[in-house]
Amino acid sequence: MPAGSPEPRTQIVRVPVRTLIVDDSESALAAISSAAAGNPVVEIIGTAKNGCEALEQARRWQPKLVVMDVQMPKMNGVAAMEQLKREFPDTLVILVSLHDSPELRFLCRHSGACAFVRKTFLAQELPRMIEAVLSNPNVN
Amino acid sequence: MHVAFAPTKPGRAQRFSFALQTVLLWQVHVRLRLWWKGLLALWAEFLLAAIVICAIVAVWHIIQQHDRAHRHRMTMLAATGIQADFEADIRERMGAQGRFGQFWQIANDSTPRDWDASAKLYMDHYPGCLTLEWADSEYRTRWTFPRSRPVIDDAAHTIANERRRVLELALQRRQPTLGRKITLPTGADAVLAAVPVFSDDQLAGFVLDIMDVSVALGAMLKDVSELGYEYAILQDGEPVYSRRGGSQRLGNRADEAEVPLRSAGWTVRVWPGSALAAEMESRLAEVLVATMAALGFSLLASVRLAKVARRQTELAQAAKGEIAQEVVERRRMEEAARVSEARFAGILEISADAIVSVDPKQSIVLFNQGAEKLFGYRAEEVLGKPVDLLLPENARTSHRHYVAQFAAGDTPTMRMCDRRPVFGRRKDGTIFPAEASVSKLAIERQVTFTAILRDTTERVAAEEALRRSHDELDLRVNQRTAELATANESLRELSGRMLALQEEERRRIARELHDSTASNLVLALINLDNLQKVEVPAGQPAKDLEDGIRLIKQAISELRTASYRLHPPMLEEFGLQFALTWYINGFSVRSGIHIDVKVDSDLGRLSNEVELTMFRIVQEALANVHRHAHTNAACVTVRRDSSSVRLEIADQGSGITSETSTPEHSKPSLGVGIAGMRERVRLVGGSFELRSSAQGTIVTAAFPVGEAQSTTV
Repeated sequence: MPAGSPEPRTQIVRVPVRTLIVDDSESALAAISSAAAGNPVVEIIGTAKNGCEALEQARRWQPKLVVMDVQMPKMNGVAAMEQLKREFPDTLVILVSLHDSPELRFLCRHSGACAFVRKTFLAQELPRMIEAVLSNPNVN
Repeated sequence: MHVAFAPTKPGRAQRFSFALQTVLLWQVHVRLRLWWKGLLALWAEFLLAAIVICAIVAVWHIIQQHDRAHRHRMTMLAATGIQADFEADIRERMGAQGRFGQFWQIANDSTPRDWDASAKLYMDHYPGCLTLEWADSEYRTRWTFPRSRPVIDDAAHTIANERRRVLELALQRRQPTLGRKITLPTGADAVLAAVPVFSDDQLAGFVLDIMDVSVALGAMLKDVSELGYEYAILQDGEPVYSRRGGSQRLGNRADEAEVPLRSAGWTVRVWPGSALAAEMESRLAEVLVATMAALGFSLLASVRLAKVARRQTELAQAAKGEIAQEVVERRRMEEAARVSEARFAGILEISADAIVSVDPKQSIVLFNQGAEKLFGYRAEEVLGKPVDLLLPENARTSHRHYVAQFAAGDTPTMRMCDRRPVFGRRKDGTIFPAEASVSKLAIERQVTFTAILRDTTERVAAEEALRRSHDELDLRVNQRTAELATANESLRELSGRMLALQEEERRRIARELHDSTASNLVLALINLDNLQKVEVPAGQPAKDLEDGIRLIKQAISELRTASYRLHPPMLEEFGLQFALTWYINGFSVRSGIHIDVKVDSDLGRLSNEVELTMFRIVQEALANVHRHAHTNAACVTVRRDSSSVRLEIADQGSGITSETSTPEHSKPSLGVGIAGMRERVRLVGGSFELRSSAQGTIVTAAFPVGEAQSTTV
């Protein structure tokens, strides 16, 4: 179902959200996956190690939601997100990073991310952010 | 059009006159000089002449003095005689007048006719009496003779005054008294003579004689004029009577004499008449002077003659001496010439240099031992032969040309090597380089050219060797310089590679920390968080869990900082503008320094190296500001134009002092001191500048950029 159509909330909760997790580190992937699983609607359909891989996966699986690290080799999270948004404008992207600064947050938001989550607070913030993003994709 | 403005030329006559004047003036000048020189030479004669003249003048003066004194004495004698004579005469006349009065006063019964008769007698005896009068004691005229006195009456007023005065004076003096000279209308001078007459000491009256001065005195002094003297009777300095123009004589003559006439209150001045004066003058002075002059000039003449004679003798002797000396001198010179010639010949022979002389026909006339050695010819073989024998074939024509040129020129000597290298030809046909000096000597129009030659084969060879070794040295120096440059380049390359490696290593470590360690910690944190959600027994386990979570968060934070400082996060991903803004804001918070960031919005992306270098420079410069500048404000500016990007970090701090700029103190925070900054900038082809003063420090770095590097994020 297309994400942009107005639907009752109860329906959204029930329909699993196809989610792609992207990070260059295995343990980070595990951590993000673990945190994302905190929200029951999330269905992880795949993982990627960098921006390029993420674009390939996205083209194949067409995920609804992409949770992606900013800092990655080959293609960073922001660049990958921009490309992804050009190809699939409806895809929701949440960027995560170990670092935090207003500039980084501004950059991420400005580039089209729906939300920014610090890695230190993944467990607490990511499920809530996913919830918020899904309920109101244009929160950005 | 050509217009000539010629100055007006003086006429020919003018020019001639001017020239003549100049010549005349010059001649006068020359003659005066000669004359003056002559005068100087005659100083002894002059001295003698001066002495003679002085002596003559002195003698003449003394004689004149004596002569004058003598004449004065004579005149004085005459004057005294005149005085005595005059005194006697005047006394007698006045006495007669007195007696006349006495007699008349006694005879009371006399009549005017008696008076007339007596007066007539008086007048006959004493010439010059114009009127004889009897005046009573009241000064009134009683009788007078002659009765009619036309001359005297005409001058009545003048005479009346004088009469009164004289009568009063006579009464006062109680003596016969002479009055002042008065002039009558006839022009004759008159004097009043009054004689008071007393009877029993009572004034009876006066006898008054009005006399014509010239007649009366002329009669009195008649005898004197026969002496040849002239004289004048003076009353108060005014002449009363003078013989022959006495009034014109103003006195002060040396030979005149003046004596008083007591009876009259007059004086008499006497001087010899011209005839007498001529008689009195002696000729002694003239005679003496003439004699002395004659003597003096003969003396002068003899002195002069003696001098001339002596000079002639001296000249004759000197002439004899000179001839003798000349002979000696000539002999000496001949001897010297002989010795010099012999010595010269000897020098010529033994001289190591080759000496060759040629005559104008280019035939060899002198060929010394040195030349024999140098050319390999014996002297007999070449003497009289043309000089071409000693020259390489190709040089013969030019040599003739040079010789002709040299012969025509003024220079007496010439070093050939100053002109070009000279070459000679040996007997065996070999050519050798030589250094030559040439001189020309003209004796009785016969010009001889002499060349002194020195073989420079060895010197040329030595020079060649020196040049070769010099070239070799140059080559080596160049090689060494090139090696050094290469080494330097390698060193710089190495330094650059080292920096690049360092950066690479830092990036790797930072990524490792970020991707692996930090991620693991994040995972661990999530796991612990999950554990917290499960039932954990309260008390110690829960607290341990909480501590673990806190420690892990702290570790992540530290790791993040370390990674962040090792390598700017996301510089490559998001570019300099993003990284700088992020870094500077963080730095501002940590250090408390307010930093103004001005980055051109169209900065775009630069090459990774340039961006990293710029970032590192900002990092280092801000670290320096924090450590040393003691300020809380700084400004970072990045400006880009078409060809370059310019980074400037400025602060208003205390500037870099010598203390802070020393290598020990400028401890680089990330291995980048000031020198490091400079080196980094140089490695990417930029320029670096640091200006520091008490008003602050400005670090400027500029990097060349091409349009191709500009890509926006």
